Amino acid sequence: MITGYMLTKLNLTESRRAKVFGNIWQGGAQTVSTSFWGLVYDVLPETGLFENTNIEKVLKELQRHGLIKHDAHGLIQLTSKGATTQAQYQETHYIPKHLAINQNFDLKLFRDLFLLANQTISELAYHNARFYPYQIDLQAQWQLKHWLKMHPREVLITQWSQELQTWLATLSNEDAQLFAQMLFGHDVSNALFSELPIPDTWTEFDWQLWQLDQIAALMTVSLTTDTLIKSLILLTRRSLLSNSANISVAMWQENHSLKQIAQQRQIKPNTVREHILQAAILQRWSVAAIEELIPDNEQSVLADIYRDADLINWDFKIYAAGKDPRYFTYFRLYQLLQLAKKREDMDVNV
Amino acid sequence: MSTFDNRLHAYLKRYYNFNTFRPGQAEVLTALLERREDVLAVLPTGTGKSLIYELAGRYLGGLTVIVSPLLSLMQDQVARLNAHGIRRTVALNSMQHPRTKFFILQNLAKFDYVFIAPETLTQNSVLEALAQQKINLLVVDEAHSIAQWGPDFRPDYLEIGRAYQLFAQPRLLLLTATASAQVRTEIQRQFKLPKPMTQVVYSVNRPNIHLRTEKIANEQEKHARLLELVRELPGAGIIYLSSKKQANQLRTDLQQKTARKVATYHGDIENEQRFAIQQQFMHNQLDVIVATSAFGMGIDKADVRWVIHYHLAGDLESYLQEIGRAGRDQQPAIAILLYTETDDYLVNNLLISGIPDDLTIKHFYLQTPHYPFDRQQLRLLQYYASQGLDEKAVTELFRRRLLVKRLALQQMVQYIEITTDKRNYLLRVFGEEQLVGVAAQNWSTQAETLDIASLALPTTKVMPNIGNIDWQKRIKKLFNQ
Repeated sequence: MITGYMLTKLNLTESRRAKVFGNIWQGGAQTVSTSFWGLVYDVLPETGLFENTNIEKVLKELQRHGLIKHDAHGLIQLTSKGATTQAQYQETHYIPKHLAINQNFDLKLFRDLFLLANQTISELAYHNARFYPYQIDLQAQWQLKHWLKMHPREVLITQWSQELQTWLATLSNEDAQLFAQMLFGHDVSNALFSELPIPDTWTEFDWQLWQLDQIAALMTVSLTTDTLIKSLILLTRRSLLSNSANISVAMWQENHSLKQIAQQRQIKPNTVREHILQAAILQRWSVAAIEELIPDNEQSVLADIYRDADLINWDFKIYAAGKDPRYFTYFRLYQLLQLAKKREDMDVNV
Repeated sequence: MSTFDNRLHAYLKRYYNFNTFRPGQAEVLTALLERREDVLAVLPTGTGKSLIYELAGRYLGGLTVIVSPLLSLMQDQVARLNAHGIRRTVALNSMQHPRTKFFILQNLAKFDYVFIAPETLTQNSVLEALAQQKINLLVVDEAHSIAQWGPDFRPDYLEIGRAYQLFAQPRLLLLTATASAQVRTEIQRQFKLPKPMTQVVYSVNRPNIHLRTEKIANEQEKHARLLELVRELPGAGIIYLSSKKQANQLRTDLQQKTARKVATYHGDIENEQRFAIQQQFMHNQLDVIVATSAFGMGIDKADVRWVIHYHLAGDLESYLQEIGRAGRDQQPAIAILLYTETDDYLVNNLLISGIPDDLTIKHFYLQTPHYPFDRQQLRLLQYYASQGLDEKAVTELFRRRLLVKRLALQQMVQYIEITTDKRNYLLRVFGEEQLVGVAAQNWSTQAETLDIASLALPTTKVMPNIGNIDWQKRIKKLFNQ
């Protein structure tokens, strides 16, 4: 269950904001603060994946078993018992690896489209129009209907099955077998959890996670090809930024100043700053792009104050207390800058 | 055959490939479509009630609005219409994202059938959007819920009458499988009709279902008896429980200790697994479903051979609904209720939990800050307060309601206790005429050993499960290659 999975997001040495996980897993609009900590904790790729999560319940459960410490400010940290359980969990449960795609394409939406597309094409192959369709969001259904109409029947059947076979052939036989078991269509049902050839220690949550992760892997690979599956993936493109933030960011990228954007859009300068900050976080802006947002002199001041490598411990009050909101933005951007530098260093190393 | 009958039968043949209607279907459709009357139809489960509104909707054109109580069932109902070739169908309920709801309301003209939850129907924006459409038929499915659930569990049921008026009084069809004369009167009262509705009432009796109750000494023995029954009963079956947790435990146990393939089915099951369970059950690849009674199932499987209640239902109406899933193919079937004396305590607790007690009501009217109200109860109290009821009136109302529910539970327990004329007992409760001779038989209790062979339950042809075949073969099978 997600309670065990939550443990994999925590550690012994650092306190983390519990609500960040709940907010990101549930999806919906994110504050800049949630996005920032989501980036730090590397949980942004899981946006909206576990929307029914009741984080309070999860925390209570973990606390009851003595696996976490939970303070009055909502900060949580693993206990040593928690660390042992975490290690056991990681050995016996599924840990996803491919979810990054979910930040630019809606993974759950694609899963639904993919499964219904597969069912419909299978029924097409048998000339059957009367079947119980897999129920997905209505808008998605309509999108799929439109997508199906764009392709001739024969192309759909032949190419779709060919693409699936090509994909499955790249997997280990065990994974291919499992992947195929989640597909259903004409007179073929998908497998019940109880009949899957999976490790005994897996729960239904592991199975859900495995499916999402494999579909994410399929998406990642398919985007580099020219396939039917890719054209279906493109229907699920999304921006985690709000429409309003997107407009501000577009103007910023056209070299408008923050002040100009605020005036033209008749919104507060601080709102524009938040939009840009949100974009820098969610779109993982480069070091150069972030540096452009912090005046040079402020960068020097910030560099003097925050020498500790671990930005989680930085106290913004030392720099920004009593100043106008713009200074908090500089502080946050400076934190982001350090994260971006780390990321770029890692990329160079890789 | 009249011209109308011919037309009706032509529809039946064309869309469903049937030559004859099931009992009650043609009668309801004739009253509704030829005589243009509003109809309250009480038809036993398995009569094909959905066919009635599907066909009536096709006949009348325009929009058909179906008020449906079970949110979880709604999407399955849409799927069922899709499977009948009706694509312009949609469900509208509180489980949907507001964006989806908005999208549907913006596109209402593109649908012929809208399934809607009472809570959603009574929202002003929804009412207004629907009122702009040409609604030719308003259907209330499981209409007994108006009387059964409205006053406590879901007050929005009491507002359906308002929607009916706002839609300029379209043709009205109320459908249920069980409703006593009193319930029927109560249901109709909500609509303020100029003349009484035409009532088409068929007996709740399902002669092909053997009714059996077994009083068992304790939980351990009940569990053992269940295992025995699951091993011995042929064909597909459903076990009803009142707890999700226990349903999960029972599934594991049944799977390990019997040769049957078992799955649990309740509100916590993920969409993709729900689909697998429904499809496998339909295709006879799955023998047993362990379900919570609050959770409906949209598929229409005609050959469910047996239903076992591991926990009793809260009232006989619900019980009949649930056992009505058995033997829809009109072949012999059996409904068994396993009971220990602690069970009614459990069900009683469930009943009470839905109804605000005196103290809760008091704190509601005192507006006590931070009082831990249950969400469901708070909604109820807010509803009645908005209707102008004061604390005294609301306290009285809920006391009465609790009494009614307890009486209903007593009737349920009485059904188990009674050792003579069990089938007629059910009919008496629903105010129906008593059966005589063989017709009154086909029931038993723990007093006699259950002779399964004598029931002549048909065996089901098990479909080969291709679950474990090689993935290449599975792909070939999927795409007919």
